[in-house]
Amino acid sequence: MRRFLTIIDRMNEWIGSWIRLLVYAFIGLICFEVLLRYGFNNPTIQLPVIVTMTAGAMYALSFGNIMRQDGHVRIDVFSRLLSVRGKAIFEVVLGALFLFPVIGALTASAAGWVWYAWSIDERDMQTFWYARIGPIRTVVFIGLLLFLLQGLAAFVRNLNILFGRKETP
Amino acid sequence: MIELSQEIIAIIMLGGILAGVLTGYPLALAIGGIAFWMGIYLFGPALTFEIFYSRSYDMLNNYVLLAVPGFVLMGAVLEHSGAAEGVFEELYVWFAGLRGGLALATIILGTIVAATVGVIAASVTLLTLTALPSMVKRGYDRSLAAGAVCAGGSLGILIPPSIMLVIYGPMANLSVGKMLLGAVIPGLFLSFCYCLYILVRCILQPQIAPPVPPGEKQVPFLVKTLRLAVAIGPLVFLILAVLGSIFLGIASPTEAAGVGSLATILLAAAHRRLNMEVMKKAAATTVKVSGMVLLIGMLASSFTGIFMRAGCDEIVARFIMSMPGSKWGAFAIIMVICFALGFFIDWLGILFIMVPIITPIGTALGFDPLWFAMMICINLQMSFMTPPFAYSIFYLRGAADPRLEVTTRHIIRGVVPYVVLIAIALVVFILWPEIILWLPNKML
Repeated sequence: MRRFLTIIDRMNEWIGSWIRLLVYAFIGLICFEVLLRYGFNNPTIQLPVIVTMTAGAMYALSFGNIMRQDGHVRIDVFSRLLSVRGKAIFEVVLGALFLFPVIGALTASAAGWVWYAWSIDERDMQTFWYARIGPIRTVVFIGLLLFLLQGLAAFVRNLNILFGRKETP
Repeated sequence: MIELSQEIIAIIMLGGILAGVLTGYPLALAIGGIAFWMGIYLFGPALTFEIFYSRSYDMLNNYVLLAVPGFVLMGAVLEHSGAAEGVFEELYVWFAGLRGGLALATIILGTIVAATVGVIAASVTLLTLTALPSMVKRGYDRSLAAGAVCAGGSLGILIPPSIMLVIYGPMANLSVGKMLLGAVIPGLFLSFCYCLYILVRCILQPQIAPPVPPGEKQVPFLVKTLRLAVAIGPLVFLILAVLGSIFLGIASPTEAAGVGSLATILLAAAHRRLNMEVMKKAAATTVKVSGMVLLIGMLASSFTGIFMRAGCDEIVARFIMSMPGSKWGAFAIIMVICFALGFFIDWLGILFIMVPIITPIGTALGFDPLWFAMMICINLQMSFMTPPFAYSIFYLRGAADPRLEVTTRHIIRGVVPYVVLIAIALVVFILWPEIILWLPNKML
């Protein structure tokens, strides 16, 4: 079990370090688009779509790693007064009540949409480029799945605090 | 199954958010969780899943919101490259001889540098780390110092380029460019009021802010002015260039943010402050902040989807419209609701939930949409500084070195005058709405 948790951590950490490149990639693409438009008077319809998708991938893949670092905003005005055990109880109960249903439902719907997008070769109708949507839908699904796994890791760790054997790490 | 009336549903959902958020669970998941269970109960799983996925997917693929990571990267590069400390250093030297000079320097640093950060946690933390220690060391009154940090740091979410305005715009169907420009004069007005307050107070009570003794930082006036200009000039130019290109209609906010962050990176490189470490850290901050913002956006937008499908927005609208005292009664209750929510919920949650609900009400009441949006933003800024529940106070306390002995008591005493100043400013903007509307109306 511990090994499993470590694998989830490593995976999100690894992805988290790679998506930092996406930040510069999409800044570069925006600037390139601006250059094409004003420098060469030759705007494209593809670039804004690609930029949007790049950022979408960046957001979706970041959720798990942010969860790993406990970086999602919390209002800890009251919970900071709780003991470690008290906090763990809240985390377990609310994880079961909020995180798993919500992110689980999103992941499940995402999986359905990935299947749909690839099977009918779904196209983006917002521009005349008609970009394939399969890839971005897939990335969103992967991101949500990683988020769900990281949520599971946090859940198990909190269960360990509550019921775990007193092992030294 | 019990048939719930719409009023009850609205109360359960809004009350549920408050309760869920206060448990200390991640804000986004608490908001999403409440909406999810209500959705399952009212509409069944199929429709609920669909609302959640389609709203989340739209949020992730939104071109206008791309300005968020752009502006965050600008701020992150400035922060991690140490440019902010550099600016404070020069401000410190320039203002050192003046009574209350360091407090003024703090407000000005907040106005210029924190402006690019745009996230309240980041700007308050930044000022706490750079400005607070030097003020306390120089024997400044602790509440004066803490107040200046909170006020200066909170300005960061209002003064453009700020991501609060980028997020507000698309939700209210307002041009982000106009939002950004509309915040310029109110933001500077507040900053000016803060400075004036500090000056007046330091004249009345000279002992609370002793001038730095001469000899320690003795630099000729011209030299220090030149150094200040070198430190601040490029930053001010950058901000003006970003806003200017939006003002002149040359670039969309997204493009301006993208090019602005490239320019910030080049600027840091020119100052020899750029290296791989800075680039990595800045990118990590950008990913973290924008991912966190987007997750809240996704789930809060799903919440709104469920809330509106249940017809609860009409209930809220009817409740607000039934307030006595014509349209100003309704306006007052909207402001009070947002102000009170600001105590408990981060501005992100408030915007994503409240804007879709209150914007149509504001329009129906006959207010200018842009003016209305600005008033909400300024109001939220005030609510983050109002004790006892105030984010800026919590962040300051969290980031301050315990050896400085700045207690919550000091912070609260220091912050109250600024809250009063913002309240006065709000009244001024009600009496003279042109202060907000003049610049955006000139936009090409």
